[in-house]
Amino acid sequence: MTDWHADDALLSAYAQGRLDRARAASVEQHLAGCALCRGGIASHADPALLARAWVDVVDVLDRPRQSAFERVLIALGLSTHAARLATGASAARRAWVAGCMLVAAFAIVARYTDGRATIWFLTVAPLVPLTGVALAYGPGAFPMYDVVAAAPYPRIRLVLLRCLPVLPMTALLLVVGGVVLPGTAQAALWLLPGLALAVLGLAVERFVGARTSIIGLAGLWISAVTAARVSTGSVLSAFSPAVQVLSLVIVIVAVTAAVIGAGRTRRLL
Amino acid sequence: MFMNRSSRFLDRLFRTVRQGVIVDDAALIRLTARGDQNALAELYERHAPWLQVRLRRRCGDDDVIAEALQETFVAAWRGAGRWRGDGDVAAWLWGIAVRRLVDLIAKRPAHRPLANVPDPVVASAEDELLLGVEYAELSTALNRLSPELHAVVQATVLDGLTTREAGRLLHIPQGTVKTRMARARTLLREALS
Repeated sequence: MTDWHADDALLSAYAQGRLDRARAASVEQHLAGCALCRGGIASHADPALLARAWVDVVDVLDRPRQSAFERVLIALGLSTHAARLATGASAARRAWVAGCMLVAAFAIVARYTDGRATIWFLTVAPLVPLTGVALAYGPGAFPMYDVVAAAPYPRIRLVLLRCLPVLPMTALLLVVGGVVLPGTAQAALWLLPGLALAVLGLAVERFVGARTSIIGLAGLWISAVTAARVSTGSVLSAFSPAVQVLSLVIVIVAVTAAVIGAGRTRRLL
Repeated sequence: MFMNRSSRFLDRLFRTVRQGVIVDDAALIRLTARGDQNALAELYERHAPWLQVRLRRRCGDDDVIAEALQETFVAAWRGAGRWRGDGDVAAWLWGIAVRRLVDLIAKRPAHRPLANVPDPVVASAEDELLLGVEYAELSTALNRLSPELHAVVQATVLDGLTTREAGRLLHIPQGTVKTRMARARTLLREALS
């Protein structure tokens, strides 16, 4: 360490690029090892630039780290903000995953206690994605609810984004159900009606609120199943090809609307 | 940052009084590693200004400098736990900052790294005297290097970049960095002999 220090004139000349290369290099070498001169040069820095960079630093530090699921969605081609919207309800999603596990467990237990487990499973299972999605993103449970409600974002695209976290769980449930229930085909029956109900639930939620939309659609679904049982003697007719096709149409319409909406947003931007 | 300057000043004063000493850089890094944002703010206040001035001598674009500074302190925040404590914090931060700058400049193919940086002034006779007899010839030789050769010397010798990083910074192949460095070395050696 030397007891020599750069005076302000030298530091000022360095900061303004008025030194020749050799002297600039000497000043830099000295600065690297001298805290006092590093402090002395602070008055020659650009305070506006420093303030701006610091705001950006704090912004990154305060930003929540991306979850694994979010990174998967981004890797699959979703934009970062869309992935954040899809995964924004992490806390509520955990509760919902637990709920799905319970339904799966219920299916397994029912299988060993009652031969008619299939009927119960098929009746309840389509309601699970609906309830989960609507509850997870409803006011109270979803921290970003107010932000999202005020954002000019294609509604139908948002609906589909919100179904995304549900899909892996749905697939898992399908596999569990398929293993437990006789005939994988029967377990797969509830997948499309379940998705369609979830999409409808989210679309309706905007107008009547989450709770009303869940209760309303659940009521409609259970009466449909009951009606099917009364009229045809089998609950399976509620999963008839006609219902499957209708569900598929609902899902496809939603996907198409979302894709068009996404294109429109991109054009606007 | 500057809006709550007084509160942060009191905060720092409190910390200094409490500990009886002014916290050194190494201690600030350890506090940062434990998630203390105030420690990072203190590091920023101490090091960001000189880093900014030094970066600006290598890049004329304020946006790039601001981004490099931001990435440097974010990297310091995340990497503080990996700091081994056996080096100088200033040198460590400069090492991160200059590499962030290299990455940012390499991402902009059309960007000319040294655009807007003021041309070095030819040293006056008095300046030559001030530099001392011992290294006068070396200084003269350094000042007389062509801009291409000097850019390579600055990147590799003064900034501590590897040949590969210097190539990315200057948008030239690694081989060119090596031949220019060899040429610069010859010229400087000639000046000393």
